[in-house]
Amino acid sequence: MIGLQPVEVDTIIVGSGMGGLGMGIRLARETERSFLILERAHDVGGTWRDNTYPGVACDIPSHLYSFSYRTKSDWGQFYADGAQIHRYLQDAARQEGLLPHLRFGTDVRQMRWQPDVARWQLDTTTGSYRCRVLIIAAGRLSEPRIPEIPGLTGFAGPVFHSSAWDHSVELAGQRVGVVGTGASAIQIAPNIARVAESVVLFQRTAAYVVPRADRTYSDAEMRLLAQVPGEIERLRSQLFWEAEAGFAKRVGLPAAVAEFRDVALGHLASQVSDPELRARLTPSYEIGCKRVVLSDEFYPALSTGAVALEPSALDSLHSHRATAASGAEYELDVLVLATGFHTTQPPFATRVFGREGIALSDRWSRGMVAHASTTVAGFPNLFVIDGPNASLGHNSAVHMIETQIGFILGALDHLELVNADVLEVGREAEDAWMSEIDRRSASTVWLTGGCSSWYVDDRSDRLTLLWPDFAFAFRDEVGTFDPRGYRVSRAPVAVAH
Amino acid sequence: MSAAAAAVAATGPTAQTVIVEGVPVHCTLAGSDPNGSDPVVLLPGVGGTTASDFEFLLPLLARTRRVLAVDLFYGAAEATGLDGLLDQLAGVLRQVLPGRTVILVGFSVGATVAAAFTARNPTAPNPTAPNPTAPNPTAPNHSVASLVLVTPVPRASNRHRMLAALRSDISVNHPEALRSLDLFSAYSSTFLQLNSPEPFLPGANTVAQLHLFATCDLTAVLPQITVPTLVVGCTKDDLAGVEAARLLFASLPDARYTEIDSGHAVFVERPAEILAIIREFVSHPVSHPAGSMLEAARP
Ligand SMILES: Cc1cc2nc3c(=O)[nH]c(=O)nc-3n(C[C@H](O)[C@H](O)[C@H](O)COP(=O)(O)OP(=O)(O)OC[C@H]3O[C@@H](n4cnc5c(N)ncnc54)[C@H](O)[C@@H]3O)c2cc1C
Repeated sequence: MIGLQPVEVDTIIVGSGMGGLGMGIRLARETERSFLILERAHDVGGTWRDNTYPGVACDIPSHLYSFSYRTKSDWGQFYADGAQIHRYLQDAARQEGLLPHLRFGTDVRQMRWQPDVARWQLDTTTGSYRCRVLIIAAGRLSEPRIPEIPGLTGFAGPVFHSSAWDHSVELAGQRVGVVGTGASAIQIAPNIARVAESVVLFQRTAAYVVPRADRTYSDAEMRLLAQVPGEIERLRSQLFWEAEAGFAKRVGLPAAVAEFRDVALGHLASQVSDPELRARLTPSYEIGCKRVVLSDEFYPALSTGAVALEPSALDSLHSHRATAASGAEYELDVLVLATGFHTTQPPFATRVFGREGIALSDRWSRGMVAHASTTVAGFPNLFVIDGPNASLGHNSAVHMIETQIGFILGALDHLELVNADVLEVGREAEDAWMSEIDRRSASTVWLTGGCSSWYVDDRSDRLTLLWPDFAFAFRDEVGTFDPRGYRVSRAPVAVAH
Repeated sequence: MSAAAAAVAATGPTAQTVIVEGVPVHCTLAGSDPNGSDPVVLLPGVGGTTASDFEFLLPLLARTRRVLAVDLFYGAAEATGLDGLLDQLAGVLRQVLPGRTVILVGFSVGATVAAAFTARNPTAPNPTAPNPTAPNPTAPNHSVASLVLVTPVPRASNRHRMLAALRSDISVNHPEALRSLDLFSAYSSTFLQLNSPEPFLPGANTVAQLHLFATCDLTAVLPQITVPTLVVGCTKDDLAGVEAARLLFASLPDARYTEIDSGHAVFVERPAEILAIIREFVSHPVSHPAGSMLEAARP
């Protein structure tokens, strides 16, 4: 496969998660462009392919966590589990005819803008590619963050990250340590406690946990959604606007925040009767500052002792012995790192080189920035999906991804309309956008809630992951490509499309 | 978004009481507008107050501009009728937002007042309206830049009178049943299937508001409303009726129309959706031409 001539296509998408597939579906359905989707793994699905840990599930209702242009009437659960979402994405790729566009096992190692030909040159593990338009959909929760724990490499048993679960490890009869209290850890701990001999959870910071109240859809409900026209759209709309109202809790509306906190602390009080345990599980920061977790199983697992709580971080390891920051010691056979991801400093940025050979990671050395959350000054014809200020704490990531896809299609149409080859946002437009982002972020719980979270870049204390407004506002402001602030030009030399 | 908007710093809501012709009127002011964008004035609906109707809308809209919510004292206007309410509103605006052109947002009977107020007041010159009325420089009143009418009651019908009579009968003979009737008529079947909302607190204005609800008729003055207007109908509204909203849209020369899948109490059932609609319209009132039907967002 590795030839000297690069493979030439109009558009390349890096990554085949929700973002890459959603983009590919619309390119295939609506345009004549030649395009490829490069994926380092051997299947589509991104997050939902990689995260197969016991209990992995979505905390956004299934009907919202799916493409608006590929609704699914037979979601069996209110909240889909990871395997169902993975299957949904596999079906989408196959049924939309994306398989011929996909190149698996293709790790994109370098993406370099070539001004002389106005093309992006990509070096990958399966050879080189050249394209006019580069769309990076490499995810923001795709690179495991492995903590530096002294003795980690010398630990005398299996160690794995939650997003790379080792299913060959038999947990029955084993003493398992779980590090972290994010969404993954809280799903994992009660589930593995059913088989493991013991489970201890290392908690550096307590999480707010609210009731999940998952439920199954009856056959009649699924048929209703399938057979009555408009019913599925009505349901999606209702779920969307319900989730949107939750943004009030993130901007410090005192009544909404208090109500939300009461729900979480009430859930804790109703499920944990031991006052000491309850105190250890009570967060010391404002609700919403870190991602709020949905679970009906987590507190009961701690309350019954099925999962032991270590209220401090894992400090060091020595053979089988794990020592917590509190000094407490545990003998462990297996260690699960539910320690999250490299979010604010995405590794792909070190591989992208724009005008004048500048690395995107250097452009982003004080935190990710982009205009319209999608385009970066100095990086012509580059679009980033699910990158800077494009995630939400209160509603579905798919809404954001679809908004960006609409924006990118609009930008490509614009290029065609003005008969140009190269589109690049100006620095002024990007700066203005970013100062508006900073202004809106200032009053949000993510910056005022007294926690450290993966939404905030610790190099600049800026909120770089989340969109600091309603999801509808993202659609209003980003959903339609606005050419103001962009420069367009023709390619310096004519190159065949 | 604009760089100018970046200068707006939100301030928390503050309540105040304004005396107009000896009548105390409560209102709440929030947000700021250093770049001079028109303030938004909110008028609550039948049986409602700023606190009950705009708990969500007011502070969140105030993140983007200055907002004043006014709880008119309907009782004081019983003798003077609708005109008395319009005088009250004018008095409040003169004191709280002197000299400012405003964007009026009325809900339910608040929309009746908002529409009547706009018809009576000289409008800001509006080149997009087919028949712009000349601004009257001598008028001491406020001009209205644009208007939002949410599930409005422009003209009482037999149904409105029946409901008001039923309610008044029940309030005398079965006061405890009144709570159910109010919940039943305010919310959609979809909402009541999924939620158990708190009963409404009896409001000081409710009876007088219902009187307006059962007697108003703006037909004659509607042609005088020439500012850019957005009418929002609620498809499951059994109180005002979605037909009234549709007909009102069709009666105004410079109106757009959209619908929400909600009962009358749309600020409780769909707070974020109505916020989205209002926020977009107040920023770009004429981005859709007069006569257009705005498609509901399809998330
Ligand atoms: C455990 C977990 C639970 C979550 N739950 C929710 C939830 O409930 N609600 C919600 O809205 N969001 C949730 N998320 C966020 C989730 O990541 C997004 O919703 C969404 O799946 C992101 O899609 P994506 O396509 O942007 O990224 P991903 O799904 O991460 O896909 C990126 C793809 O790019 C590939 N890739 C990366 N770098 C390269 C490279 N250099 N070369 C080639 N290929 C590359 C990766 O292999 C991957 O397949 C969750 C995430 C995790 C990890």
